[in-house]
Amino acid sequence: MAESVQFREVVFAHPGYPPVLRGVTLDLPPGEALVLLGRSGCGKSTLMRLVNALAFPTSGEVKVGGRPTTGWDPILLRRRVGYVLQEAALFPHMSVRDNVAVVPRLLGWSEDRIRSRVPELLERTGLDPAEVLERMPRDLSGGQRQRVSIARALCADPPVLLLDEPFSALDPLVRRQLQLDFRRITRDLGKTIILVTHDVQEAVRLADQLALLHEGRLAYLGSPAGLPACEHPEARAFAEGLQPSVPGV
Amino acid sequence: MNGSSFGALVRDASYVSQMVEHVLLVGAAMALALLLALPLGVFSAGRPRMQRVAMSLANLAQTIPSLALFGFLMPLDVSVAGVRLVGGLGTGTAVTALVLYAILPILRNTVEGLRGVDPLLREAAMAMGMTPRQRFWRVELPLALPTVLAGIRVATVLTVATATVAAAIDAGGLGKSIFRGLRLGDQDLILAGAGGVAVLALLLDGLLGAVQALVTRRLARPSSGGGGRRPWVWFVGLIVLGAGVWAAGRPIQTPLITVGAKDFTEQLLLGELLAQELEARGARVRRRFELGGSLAHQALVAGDIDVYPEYTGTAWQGILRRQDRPAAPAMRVSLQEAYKSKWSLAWSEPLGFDNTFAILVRSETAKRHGLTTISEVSPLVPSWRLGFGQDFMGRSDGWGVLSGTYGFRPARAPREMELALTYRALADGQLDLVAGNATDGIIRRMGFVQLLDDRKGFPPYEAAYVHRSAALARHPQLAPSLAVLAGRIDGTTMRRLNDAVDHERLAPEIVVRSWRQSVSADRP
Repeated sequence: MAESVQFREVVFAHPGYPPVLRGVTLDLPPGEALVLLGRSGCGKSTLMRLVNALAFPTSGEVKVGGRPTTGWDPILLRRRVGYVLQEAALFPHMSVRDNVAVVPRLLGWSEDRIRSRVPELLERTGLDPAEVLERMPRDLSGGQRQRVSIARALCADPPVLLLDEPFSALDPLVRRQLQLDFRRITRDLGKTIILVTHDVQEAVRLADQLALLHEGRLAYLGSPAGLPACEHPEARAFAEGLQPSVPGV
Repeated sequence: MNGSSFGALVRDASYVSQMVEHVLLVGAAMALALLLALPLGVFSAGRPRMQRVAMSLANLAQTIPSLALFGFLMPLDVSVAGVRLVGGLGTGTAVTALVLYAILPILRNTVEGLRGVDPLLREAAMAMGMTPRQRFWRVELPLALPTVLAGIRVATVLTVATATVAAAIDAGGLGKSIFRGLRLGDQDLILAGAGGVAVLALLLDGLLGAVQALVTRRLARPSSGGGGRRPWVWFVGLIVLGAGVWAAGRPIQTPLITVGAKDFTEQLLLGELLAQELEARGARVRRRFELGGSLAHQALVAGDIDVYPEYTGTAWQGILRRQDRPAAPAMRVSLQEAYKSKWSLAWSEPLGFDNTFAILVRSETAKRHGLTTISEVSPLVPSWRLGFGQDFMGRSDGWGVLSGTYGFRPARAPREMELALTYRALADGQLDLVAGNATDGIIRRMGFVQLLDDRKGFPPYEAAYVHRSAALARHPQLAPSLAVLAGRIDGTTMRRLNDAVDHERLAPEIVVRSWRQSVSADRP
């Protein structure tokens, strides 16, 4: 199950401040992965918060599943959009089991259904349920925490998945492994994905569509392979970081 | 000051009941403080202006010294269904004051705990699709809980300590032992009271620490469905607990007649004496003893008590604020009239003794100089060392009489010290002349000589009962009880009774009972 996400001429500004987004248009078909690339403060996170109704466009329109976000009950919309936050953001007072079961419980699933669903998701994200199910987040490694966070976002089988710099706090080896696993998981599940990163290699590895956000506008929107050919100075700056490993991608 | 007497104190039933009273006071105050401060904290955590106002008010309440706070609360009359909840003497007022003190730490920690929740986790909760209520119960409250509970622990320990002051307005508790100990200069009593308070504080602190660990773990497991239900059960439980403790702290049935007494031995004895006479005539009596300072008078005027023992001189100067100095019979008549017209209060016939200031010297000093009157001492005073209690030094009818009427001119200014210590210093020869209360048992025991007030400089302090005029009609036992006590107690008797309590450590009720038995045996 997947749903489309569309942005039409989206402008967003905090009241009294210059706009963070200055007219973004993009179209993400169901089941595709969009990677949003950009420097810190370019508006990536804001763009993502518009998808699950944590913020609303100042002008323009964001549609999820063909319906504008303003037409959704925000609470119900958020339960249909999985969200992986920076540094995992697991609830420290809940065990792994309870963290992963948050959204299903909000949706009123039966405990039986949750009991079978949680271990399934943990396994899928590469964790051993028997080992981690009852552990508290503080007893997990950084990579394990991020896997739990992904399991949490996917547990209620949302049609759309958002990820905000999910792998940035991990060491390179763990990051690489997790990226590969993530690619496999999401391909299997066929989710519509928006992932925010400032790591161009990660962007190229994971993206079906790559969007480069610069000063509130899209400096590039297209396939990852097309980025090096883009003339925009920001695109060239990012593409440089790509050079050494391009042959291997 | 030995272990066995301390042990006896602790085994004393009244000590145990003080401990229970203390726990009930703290329990009621904490339950109410939680009911007020927790919702207030939650409500104001997200509202900076509201938070500032609430915090300043809570801060203000905490800066008021506890005795002064009682002073503010006593005149209030907040009644529900005819039961006076706040104001006057007793539990209601004490609990109110304690609640005002306990609010700040709870409020502050609730606000801080909620505001301290990691914004990223708040955002996560929102992004998961939690409603504001779910965010509060499932994420914010559990994460704030350790801080909130720490505030509750602080407030509890604070309340345990502050509750000692409640004894000043007859709300009971371990403060009774401490106040009594201070009055009698009895280290054991003070230690028993203070030690009890410390033990209680540590115990509750430990208990709450355990609860903190337990609750944090429990709340960490939101069960399926209505996750908000369990905290509500807690809340309702708190209300029930508070109400229960409150109810336990109040008498179920209003007693018929309330006898008051001030906070020193003689008053306890006189209050107990009247109470027993009333009970012997079938009255149901409530005792409200140990009322500090002029609280007894205020309580009588307010109708909190029906009767209490008073001294003519105290009423004349302390309450009516009269400066003139009539003779004892004239003073009695004037008092009777003034009390009647001002407050509809009446004085009983005098009990038969005069608890005026007693000017005391050692018996060998009296013998060596052939002293019997205060006038005879005056020429010797320049080379003597004098010492007086703070009360005596501060009053015009105290040191003012010696320096004025008798022309005392000591070379060194009199030492101002705790009354009980002046006796000790006189006995040890560190002082040559002190002023005591005429009926203090210690005068007899230490063999001091009381000098005669030959110029009638000190006002009479005749003891009698003051009662509400209306009480005579409402309580038919009162008039005969007062009549039978009129003129029955002379100075020697009173000294002996005082000594039995202060020195021999007998309970006032036992001293009074055995005295009444001996007197009735003497009767034909």
